[in-house]
Amino acid sequence: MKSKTMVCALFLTALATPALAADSEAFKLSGFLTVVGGKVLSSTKDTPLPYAPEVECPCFTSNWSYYGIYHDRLSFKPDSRVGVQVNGKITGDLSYVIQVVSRTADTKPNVQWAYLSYQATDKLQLQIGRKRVPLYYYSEFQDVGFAIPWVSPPTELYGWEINNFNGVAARYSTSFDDYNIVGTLFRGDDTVKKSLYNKMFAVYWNFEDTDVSWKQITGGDLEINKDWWTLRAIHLQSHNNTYLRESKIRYLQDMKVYGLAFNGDFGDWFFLTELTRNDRSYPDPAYTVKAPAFLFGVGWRIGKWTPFISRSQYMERTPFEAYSRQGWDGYAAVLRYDVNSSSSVKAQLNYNRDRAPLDDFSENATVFRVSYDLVF
Amino acid sequence: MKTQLSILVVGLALSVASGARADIVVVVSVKSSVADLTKQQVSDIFLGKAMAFPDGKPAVPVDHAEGIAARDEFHAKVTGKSGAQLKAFWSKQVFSGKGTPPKELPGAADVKKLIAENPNIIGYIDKAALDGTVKVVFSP
Repeated sequence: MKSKTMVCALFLTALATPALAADSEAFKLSGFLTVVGGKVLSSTKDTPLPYAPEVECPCFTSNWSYYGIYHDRLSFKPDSRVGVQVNGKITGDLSYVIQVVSRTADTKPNVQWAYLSYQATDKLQLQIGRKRVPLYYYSEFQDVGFAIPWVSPPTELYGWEINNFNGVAARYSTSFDDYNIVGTLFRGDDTVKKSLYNKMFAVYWNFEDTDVSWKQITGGDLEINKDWWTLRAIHLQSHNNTYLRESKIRYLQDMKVYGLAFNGDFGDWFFLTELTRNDRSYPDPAYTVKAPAFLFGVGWRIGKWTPFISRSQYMERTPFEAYSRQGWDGYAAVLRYDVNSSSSVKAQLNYNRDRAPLDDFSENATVFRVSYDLVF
Repeated sequence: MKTQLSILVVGLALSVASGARADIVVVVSVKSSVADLTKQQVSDIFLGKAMAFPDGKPAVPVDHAEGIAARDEFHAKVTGKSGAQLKAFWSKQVFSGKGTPPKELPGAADVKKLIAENPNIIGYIDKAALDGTVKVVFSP
């Protein structure tokens, strides 16, 4: 099933010559492909993960949402993906976007975007359907390898149980002087059945398959851009639950997310900074886990080459002593080469340091990945 | 005779040299009511950050095809983005559902004709191709 979908998607990619990707008035087909091969070069752990004993280590989880894990043998499975998108225009003001992504780490393709858009005024757009949750700066396009400086964004901030929501959104964009301002409000929910993310914590969930829901996701973001800088702020809240499919028990939690990103682009060099916080509150026993995270990155554009380095951290804090806190320090060095204006090759080295105070999770690991990114 | 010939040769060489550098101007139809635009305003329209002219009328940008000198020059002088940066920018926009890049036309004559016939459209052409059907709104 998985390989059939991948073959279908790759066939579609091969068909999408520039002629096909060019639009007719009503319909435009486009897409992206990222192939990643990687392996763990060294690790301090050689026993299985404490909460997921089927995961042998040396190990590095690069793709938390889809249980994408590298070991000490070369693998193309954790991060490779292909996306196909259709942009359609129904009338002058009514259009739609559908994007489907197929991954080697998942058995079935996922619909990332499927929404209808109504341009109410030249500044206001109303949307209904399925969208990606705009959690952090790269969240809405983190699958598009060509558009991001890393092979994939740092796992300290990116990669959660839920990536999409079904609901409504409003987008307002305006500009004055040299400022461009875009604000969105959104509301929706989603459920992922047989969550791959939760397989990382199989022991907690009695080794059962679980369904994860983020319900009544309500939030807004604001992005301001002028000249070389871009500022983005996000806040969202939701009522989440995890449902154990065999014992039929539902565990509740409330989530609050805060994010602030400040990026600068000077042409021949650029920087990224992001501060985020993901707070989870549990009812019984009642406690809250706050998980602040940050990321700093700097890159240079030298001809067709873009070297880039970043530092990131995720550190859970809670007064509840029985909770097994997790923490990570991440360091990444990437070298990107733009083959042409539609494709690039990257080589990335990651050093991931386990900062879990109670039990070490996957301990420290050094991982090397190479990616090929294409947009069409 | 020889001096005249060498002057002619130099003259030809100069004209060839200046013709190779596309001096582009940003234009709209003479039928359009749009007057002057700033570099920021033109850049915003071509990067999908503004969908209307300052007077509120819809603005539809038209680009030249990839590989054409005028396109590279326009983007270097107005949006400040190289080919790869532009593609990365539009990849981000397109695949997060936020917009689609301007329509691309293969020939300079096609671009000028489309602009001339449609007052909503804004594009750029070689200065040498200016005629009575289009007017300049920004000169980089």
